[in-house]
Amino acid sequence: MITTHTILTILQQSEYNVDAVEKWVETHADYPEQLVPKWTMKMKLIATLSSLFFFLPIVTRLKIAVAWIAPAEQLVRWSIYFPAKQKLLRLKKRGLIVVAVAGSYGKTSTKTIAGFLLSEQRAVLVTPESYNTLLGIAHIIRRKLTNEHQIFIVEMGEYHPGDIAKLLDFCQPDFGVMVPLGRQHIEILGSFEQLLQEMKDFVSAFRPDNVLIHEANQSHFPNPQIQLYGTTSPATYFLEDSHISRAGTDFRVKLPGEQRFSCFSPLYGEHQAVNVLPTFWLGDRLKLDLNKISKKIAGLPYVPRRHQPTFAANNVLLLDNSYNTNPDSVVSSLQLVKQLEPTKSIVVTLGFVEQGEKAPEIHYQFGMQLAKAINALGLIEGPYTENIKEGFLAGGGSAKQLFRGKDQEDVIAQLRAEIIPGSVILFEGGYQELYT
Amino acid sequence: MAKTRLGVFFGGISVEHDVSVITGVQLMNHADAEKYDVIPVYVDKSGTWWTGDVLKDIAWYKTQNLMSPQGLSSFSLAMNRSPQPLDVALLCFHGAYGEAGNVQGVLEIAGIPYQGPGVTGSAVAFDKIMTRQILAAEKITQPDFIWFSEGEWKASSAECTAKSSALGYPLFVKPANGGSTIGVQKVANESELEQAVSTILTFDSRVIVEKAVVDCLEINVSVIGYDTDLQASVAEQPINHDEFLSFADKYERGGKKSGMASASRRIPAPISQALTAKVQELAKRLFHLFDCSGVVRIDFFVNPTTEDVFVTELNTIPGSMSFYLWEASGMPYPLLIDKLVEIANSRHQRRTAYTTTFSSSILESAKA
Repeated sequence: MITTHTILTILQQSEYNVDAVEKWVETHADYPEQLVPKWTMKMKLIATLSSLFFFLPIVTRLKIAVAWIAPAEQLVRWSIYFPAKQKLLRLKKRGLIVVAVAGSYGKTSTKTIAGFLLSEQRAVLVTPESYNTLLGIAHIIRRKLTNEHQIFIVEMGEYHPGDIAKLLDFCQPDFGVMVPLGRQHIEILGSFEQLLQEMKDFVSAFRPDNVLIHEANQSHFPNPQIQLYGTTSPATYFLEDSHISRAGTDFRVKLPGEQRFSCFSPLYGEHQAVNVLPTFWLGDRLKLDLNKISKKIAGLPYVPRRHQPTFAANNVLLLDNSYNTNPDSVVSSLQLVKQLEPTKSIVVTLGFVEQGEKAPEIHYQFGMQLAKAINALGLIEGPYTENIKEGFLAGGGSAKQLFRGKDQEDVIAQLRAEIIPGSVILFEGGYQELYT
Repeated sequence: MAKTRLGVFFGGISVEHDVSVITGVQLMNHADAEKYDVIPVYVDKSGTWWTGDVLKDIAWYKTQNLMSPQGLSSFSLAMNRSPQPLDVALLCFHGAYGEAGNVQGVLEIAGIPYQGPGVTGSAVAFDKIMTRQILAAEKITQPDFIWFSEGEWKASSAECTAKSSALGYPLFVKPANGGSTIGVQKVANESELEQAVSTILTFDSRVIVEKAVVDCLEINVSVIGYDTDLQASVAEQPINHDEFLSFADKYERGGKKSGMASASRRIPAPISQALTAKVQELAKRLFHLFDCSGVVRIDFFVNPTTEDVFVTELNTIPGSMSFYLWEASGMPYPLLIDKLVEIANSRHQRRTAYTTTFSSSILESAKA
């Protein structure tokens, strides 16, 4: 039975899109309870107001509460938007460069890495992780953006149709980066086509030479004037000769004009190294010292819960990829584990969020992929445990390789005998954030 | 074929006595029993030399007063080149007693092969001031430093403090001699400096003060060999204790331990292949420069962004003989021991082949 707390959590994470919550509730009847992570004033108000109508179904109550506070909220919003927009326009006139990052997978890594790599040469402000809505960005502009900043990197989230257009109008970015697109958010937006529409709005806001797109999105935006980044040669900013070890990732960046830079990133995997490419493109466009950018990569901090390593005794490596919401990226995760040359490869997972109606099939396929790649599987009990298990067994895995537990600690305790010196344990996917 | 009588020397009058016991016992337990008769040579905390099979068991040490252990046989070497109780020695001492050249001198006189470095290499590498001066002469990058003696400090502590402060805080203050971090202090201002110097002068008569390098990783590399036949290990990054917190928070929360302890080092270190090769080459150059032989661990500070490499120190008898670095480099501990024995013998053979007598008529014409 889905609880009020869970529904409130979904409401908050969907940016108060009650229609999306209603649809979500219909398809997640047995969802494990989630506790509201942030009790904001708005959340408290909605919870209190909705409790007055305790005799009505929960979604109806929420609709009333959200509608009730809307006018007051609108006033508050305008009192934040207007000064923020004025401030941003004033700073842009003084030379502030605004860079927008949009898309489905890797926005946080891309903007965080760009902020770090550019910081040696420019004063950079990057929007923090959860601030990717109009209100959130306006807050950051008011509180954090100063006259000293030279570059402002903004992550743009799309929760409702038309969100990207509003954000573009508000931020008026000079440059845009589009990370790979995927199924994330489509439950809220409605369809992948709607997501594409949002991204078309994004691309059309820039001159073709002021926007960079991940190569995976090329088929949707077949404009030869738009530069691509990725791991293959059609991209003009691409990686080559990558070598992954437990030290990190050595690779070369190739730029237009046969320019090449040898780089090393402590972050694991080519899929993470790719996220430095937009910074090279930006550096190129802003005429910065690209050699300094290439050297700075060696000092990159790990990105939380994105193949974030923890080093245990006896050369056991734990890789936390629990923020991964993209089942398509499991291939690169498993490839990474293999490249780290484990004595034993172990995956601990709960499955993936927000996969819509195809979730059971996606998890079945996930199980099959795991069976071919790992020595032991730890399953945390969740809505798709059975699907993963069936896929794992169908893919050639055996019941002896399966370990189930009620939570992560329980699963690790059961896996203990499997963990030998040199093992790699990958924590893949999870439910920490349902709508990020 | 007769087994080689392998003397494993450890213990000694040193603050690192206990660490040396661990190194010695580990080595004895990994030596190939088919090839070696292992003879433990333990120097207790009072300086008495002992032998006995119980010394191979780490549990035994926990039952003893190590100032005057019981149940052992005394051990001695002949200084007049008469037959010795062992064929080859591997020194596992850490600290002033056995790492600074003293015991090496004894073995030279007794004519017993050992892995080295010899007296000169051991003594020079053990002295941080000598090490720094050689590095400076060779224009090898190192943290900025100054040094002073006890006498200079007593004559003008203000001048010593001023010279130190001019380097820029924070500073590391270290005794000139001492292979471990014992006595080493990081100071942020003049009063902390003065306090640190006073403490260090209870360990040693000379003090080295060096500028702390920033944005660097601590990187260690081991080198094994003799003369020009050198091999460098993979690089490691020691992990300091603070970095354990995230692990403990995550997996030992609520007392439910996962059973996995945190790592104390990262192998390989998180630096590029090119930078690793640069550090390894520098390590081999230093090994040769300091006339080292055997197995040595050289410690660096490395800035991964600027690729600056700063030498901090050479450990001529490294803890655990750096076996974990060699295992990760494809040389299991028993093979590492074989290699050290081979180096000891090669080194000894070459030294005994040198001309040491010379016919002259000086004595015939000498007058008393």
